[in-house]
Amino acid sequence: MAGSPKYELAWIGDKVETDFKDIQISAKDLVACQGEVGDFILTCNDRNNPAKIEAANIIINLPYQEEPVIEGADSLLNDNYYLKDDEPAIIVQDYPDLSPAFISKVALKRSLEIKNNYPDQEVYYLYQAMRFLEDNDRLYEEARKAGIVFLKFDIGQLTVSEDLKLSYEREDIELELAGTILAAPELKPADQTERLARIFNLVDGYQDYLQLDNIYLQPTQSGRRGVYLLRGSRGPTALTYYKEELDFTLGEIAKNLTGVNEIDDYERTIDDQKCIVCYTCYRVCPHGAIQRDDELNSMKIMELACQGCNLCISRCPTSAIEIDHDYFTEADSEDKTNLIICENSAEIAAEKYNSMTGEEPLSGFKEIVVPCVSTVERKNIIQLLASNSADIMVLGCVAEACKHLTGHDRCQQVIDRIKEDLEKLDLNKDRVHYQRLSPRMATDLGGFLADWKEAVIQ
Amino acid sequence: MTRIGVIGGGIAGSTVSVELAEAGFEITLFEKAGEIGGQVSEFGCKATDICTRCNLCLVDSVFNQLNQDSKIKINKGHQVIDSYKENDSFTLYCEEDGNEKVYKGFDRIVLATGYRRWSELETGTPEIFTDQRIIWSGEFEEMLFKRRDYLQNKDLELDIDFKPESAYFIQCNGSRSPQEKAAYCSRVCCGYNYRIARVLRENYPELELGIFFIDMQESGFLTDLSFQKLIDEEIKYFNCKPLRINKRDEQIEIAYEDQAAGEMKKVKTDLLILSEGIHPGKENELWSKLFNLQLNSDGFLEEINPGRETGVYLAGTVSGPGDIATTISKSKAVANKIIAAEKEVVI
Repeated sequence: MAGSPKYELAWIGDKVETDFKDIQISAKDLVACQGEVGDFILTCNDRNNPAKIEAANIIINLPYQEEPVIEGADSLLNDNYYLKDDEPAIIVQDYPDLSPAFISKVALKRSLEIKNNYPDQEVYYLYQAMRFLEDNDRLYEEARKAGIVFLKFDIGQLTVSEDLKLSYEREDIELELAGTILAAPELKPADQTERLARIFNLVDGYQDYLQLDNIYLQPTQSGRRGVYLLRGSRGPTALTYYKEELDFTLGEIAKNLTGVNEIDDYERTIDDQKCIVCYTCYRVCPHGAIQRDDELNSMKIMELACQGCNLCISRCPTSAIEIDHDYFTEADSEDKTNLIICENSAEIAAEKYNSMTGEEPLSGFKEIVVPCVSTVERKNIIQLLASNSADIMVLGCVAEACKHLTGHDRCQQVIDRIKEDLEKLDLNKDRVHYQRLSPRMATDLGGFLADWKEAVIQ
Repeated sequence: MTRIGVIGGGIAGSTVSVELAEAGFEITLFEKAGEIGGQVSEFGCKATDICTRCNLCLVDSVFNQLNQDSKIKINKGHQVIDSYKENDSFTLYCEEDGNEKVYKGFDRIVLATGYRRWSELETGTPEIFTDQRIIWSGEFEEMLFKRRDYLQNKDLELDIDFKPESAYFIQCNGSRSPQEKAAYCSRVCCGYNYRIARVLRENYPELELGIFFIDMQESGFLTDLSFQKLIDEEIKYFNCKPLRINKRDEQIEIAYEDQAAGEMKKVKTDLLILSEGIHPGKENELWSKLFNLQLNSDGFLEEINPGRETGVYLAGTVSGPGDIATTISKSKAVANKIIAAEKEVVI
C-alpha cells in the first residue's frame, strides 16, 4: 500500500476532535479488520474513503440504541419535544427499571430548561433514585429551587395507563397525572454491535455489548490490544464516566504511538504443514491475536496482539501450535503435590501472604507457574499423574478476574475431561483438584494450602 | 533522564509510578506512612460464589511491580512539607523522623495523596458509634481482608464475639450532608455495602439484611445494582435516612420513616454497618498553596492550568471521590499524559 497515508487513529462511528491524525469510518461501511496494534488494516466499502485504510489504533464509538418504555410518550433524550401550553410537563426516569446516572443529568437539565422557557408550566419529575455524576448535585438543587415537583417512587408505586395517564401512589399521596410525558428510554447496545464483534473478533460481550464483563478490560479496553470501546459499544453505564474514559483512551493511544512491546517473552509458531485452517484458534483466542496467512494457507499468530495465555495451543485439534518453552519440564518426582498456579491470581496472593506473614505458603509443594491455567493440557496432567503418586492442584482465577477472559473455563473443561477419563479407567479421579481464587485472597490461600499440606501428610 | 516525584504511595501513586517506570522514567516515591499501600491495602476480596467486581484483583500486581522495579526509589516515612520550583525543576522538602531532608531535580510532580475516611475526621466520633455492634464498612473491609472462608468452605470469621442474626446498613454517612461539609455523593458506598451484604448473605443465608439509603447510585463498574436485585437477594431496602439510632440492651434500634405507609417505624438489628464517605485529604490545603492548585468547594483539588504547563499532576482521589477501578484508570491516564508530554506526542 505504498503512498497511502497511515492514520494514528481510526474512529468507527462518531468522531471526537483530537490532535491525532485520524479518520472516521462508518460502522456500516466497515467490512474487515486485519493486523494488530500499530498496524491495523481496515477494509471499507465506502465511496468517500479508500478501500483499505491503515491505522495504528481503533476506537469504536457508537451511540446507544434507544428503546421507548412508554409507548406514545416523547423521549427524554430527544431535543425536539412538543409541550402543550395547558398541560404539565412530566419527566419520568427509572421506569420501569433504574436509569443510568447520565439519564439523571439529562433529565435535570431538561426539567430546568422547560421551567426557564415556560415559567408558568408545571413540571413534575418522577424518579426512583437521583444518581450523581459531575454537577448533578448542583442541578438537582437548582431544580428544587426552581419549583420543579420531585416525586420519588418505588417499585409498583407508579403505573402508566395506555392513554398515557400516570397514577402515583405513595404515603398519603394519590395522584393522577396527565400531560406531556418525557420518558427516559431504555439504552441498548449500539446498532451493528454483533457485526463489529465478528469483524474485530471480540469475545461475546456482556449484555450484548462489545466489552466483556471483566475487570481487566476497564475502563475502555476490548480483549484486543489497540481496539478501544466507548459509549454504546462499551457497556450500560459507559456515559457515567465518559470524560474520564475518553481521557484514558486517548492517553493509551498516545502511549501506544510511542511504541508497543510484546507482552509475552516466548515465541509461538503455527506449523503450516499441520494447520488445517479450521479457525478453532481464531475463535477461541480471547485477544484477537490469530489471523489467516493467505500466502501460506495457514493461521498465524500476531506477536504484539498475543498476550501469552496458550489457550490456542490447548485447543488446536492438530497440535500445530508450538511454543519454545515447556512450563511442565520440572515436574516433581519426590511425591510432592504438584501445584499448578496462575501468575495472575495464586502467585500474586502467595507473594502477598509471604510479605504479610513471612511464611512461604508454596513451600512443600512443587509449584508450576503458568501465565493462565488454560495452558494446562490433558497430556500435562497425565504426565504429572504418572510421574509420582501425589495429587495435583490447579489454582485458577475467578471468572470476572481472568486476565485471559475465557482461560479459566478452558481449564475447567480439561479437568472435567481428565476426571471422566480417570473414572473410566477405574483410577482415582480425586487426585486432580481445581480451585478458583482472586489475587486478593492471600490469607485464604495461605490457610487453604496449610490445611491441604496437613491433609497430605496424614 | 526525566525525573518524576510522586507524592503518595497508595494505589494511585503506585500505578503512576509503575507505568512511568515502564516507560523509562526515573521515579522517586514519597510515602508518609511506614508502608506502601495506602487505604486500598486494607480492603478484602468480596467474592461470593461469584466475583462481585470489587476490582481489588487489579491492585496487588501493581504493588508487586512497584517493589521489584529498580527505577523506582521508594522513600517511606517521608512527609512532604514544602516545595520550591526554579527553572522548571522542583525541589521537595520532606520530614523524616523529625529531620528535614531535601530532594532536588524533579521535572514533574504527581500528587496522589488520596482521601480520608469519615471515621478519620477530627470532629470526634459520637459516643453511639463506640459499640462493637456498630461497625464501619472500613472495619468490615479489614475483616474481609483476613477472610479464610472462600477456599476453605468455612464460615466467614467476623471480628465480633457474637453471632449476628440481623445486619443493617446505613448509607450516606459523611456524604450528601451539608452539615458534614460534604454535600457531594462519595460514589463508592452503595457498591461496597451491596457487595458486603452479598458476602454476608453467602456466608449466613439465614441473616436478616437491610439497607437504608437516600438514592441508590450506580457505583462505578458494578452494573447490576438495582432494587430488583436487592429484592431477589432478600435484602430489605429503605428509601430514607434513619431518624434515630438507639442502643438497647439486646439490639440496636433504628427509627425511620416508612414512606410507603407514611408513618414512623422501628426496626431492631444485631449488627449495624455504616458506610464511610470519602473526605478530602488533610494535606489538600497545603498542596493548593505549594503547587498553585484550586481547592474546590468540597475540598478536593483541581488543576488551574494543565499539568503539561505547570508540571504538577493530580492522580486518584486527591481530585474527587472514586472507586478503585476509576482511580486506577485515572492514574493511568495521568501517566499517559506525562509520557505523551515528555515524548512530545500530542493528545
